[in-house]
Amino acid sequence: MQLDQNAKSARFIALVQPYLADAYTLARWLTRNRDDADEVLQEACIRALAAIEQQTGANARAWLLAIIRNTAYTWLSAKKRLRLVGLDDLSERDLARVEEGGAQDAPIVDPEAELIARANAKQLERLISELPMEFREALVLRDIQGLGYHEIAEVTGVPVGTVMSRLSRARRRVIYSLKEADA
Amino acid sequence: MAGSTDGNRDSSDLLVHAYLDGELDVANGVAIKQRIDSDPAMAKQAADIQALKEVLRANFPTEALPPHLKARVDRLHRKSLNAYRPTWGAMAAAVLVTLALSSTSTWIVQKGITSSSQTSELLDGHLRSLVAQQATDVASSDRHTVKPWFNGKVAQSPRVKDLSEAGFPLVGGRIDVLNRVAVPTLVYNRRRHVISVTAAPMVAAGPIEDAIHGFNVLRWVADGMSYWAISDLNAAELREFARLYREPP
Repeated sequence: MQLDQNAKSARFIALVQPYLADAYTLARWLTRNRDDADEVLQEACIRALAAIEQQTGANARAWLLAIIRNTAYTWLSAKKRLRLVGLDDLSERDLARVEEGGAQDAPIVDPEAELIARANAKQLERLISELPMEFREALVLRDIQGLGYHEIAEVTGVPVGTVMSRLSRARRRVIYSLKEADA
Repeated sequence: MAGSTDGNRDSSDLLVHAYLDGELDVANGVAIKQRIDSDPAMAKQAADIQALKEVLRANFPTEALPPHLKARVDRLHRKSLNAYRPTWGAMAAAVLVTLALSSTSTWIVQKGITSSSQTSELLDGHLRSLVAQQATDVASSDRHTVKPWFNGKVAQSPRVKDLSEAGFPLVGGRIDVLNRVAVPTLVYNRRRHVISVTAAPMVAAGPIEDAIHGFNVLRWVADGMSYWAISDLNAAELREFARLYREPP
């Protein structure tokens, strides 16, 4: 079925428009820069429009966020702003180092919860920005955008178990860093 | 489940997160809540995670799309519509498309929920069987005993295969309940791991492979039936089991 421009536009309004703010939020967190996020959003919309005939309407938000994510990865690797080494490409030892980060010697974090509750937006934004891409996207999709585990798995293309472990490690690192900052 | 202390710490760590994220079913939620209440270290961890979740939600509300971007996106998909005045026909078509899309998405979302709740119902059955006196209602390693036992209890007896030579001895069978319908479950062993295989006379969507709460889940469709294999066995061996089970006799 070949849709004409009007039908495409109608589908775009029904499927993409409701989630543009979510899409932009994710683009900002992944690129860490508003100008780049603008470009990623626009490029992702072009891709969404091109693929809109195949989109059935099943979970349009996850579908759009997956396009944003793929566009952001492409954009960042083209800009070489990020050394895009997939976690899957690393050796076991490097992986452990990346995942543990500064928290290596403190597997059980144990700051007072009030300390975390006092954190401000600027501080949190910096800590989240410093997370490796895979952890950052899991944390942002869950704790800022409110997606369920299965939706995150759909957006990031990994099994739910992987989502769970990335999310727990991301949170552990942020909690640990908040404690460090206070010490 | 992995047997090692580290494995246990990791999996209970993930369960605390899943509990606070509302991703556990009632049974598992209650279980982990009890552990949080009785273990001070776990309680502290849960409090930290909860505090982080709240502070993130409070500090980063969803922002509206900036107007300049909204305009750019609008131009994108309306590119050729500038000279276009909608006719009643086109507007009706757009409404129809929207209606069709929204009803499709509802249907698919419901189906998605059903399919994952099926898995969690079956996982409940598997968990219950692990804590029960015995994992089966009929205990027999003889498939000629197990298969007839299902007759009259479920609509359709499952395929019962003897895989003992491959290292998966049959332990027995039981009845599980899925969507309020009695369905047959076969129980096999692999070393000290228990594998539950459930057959339900309904065609769920394509095959899935999942890990839930430390259990591996495989689902496939064969002969118009949906099959689930659930176990704390590692994924590779569970796949091997499913492959042997599915092989024609």
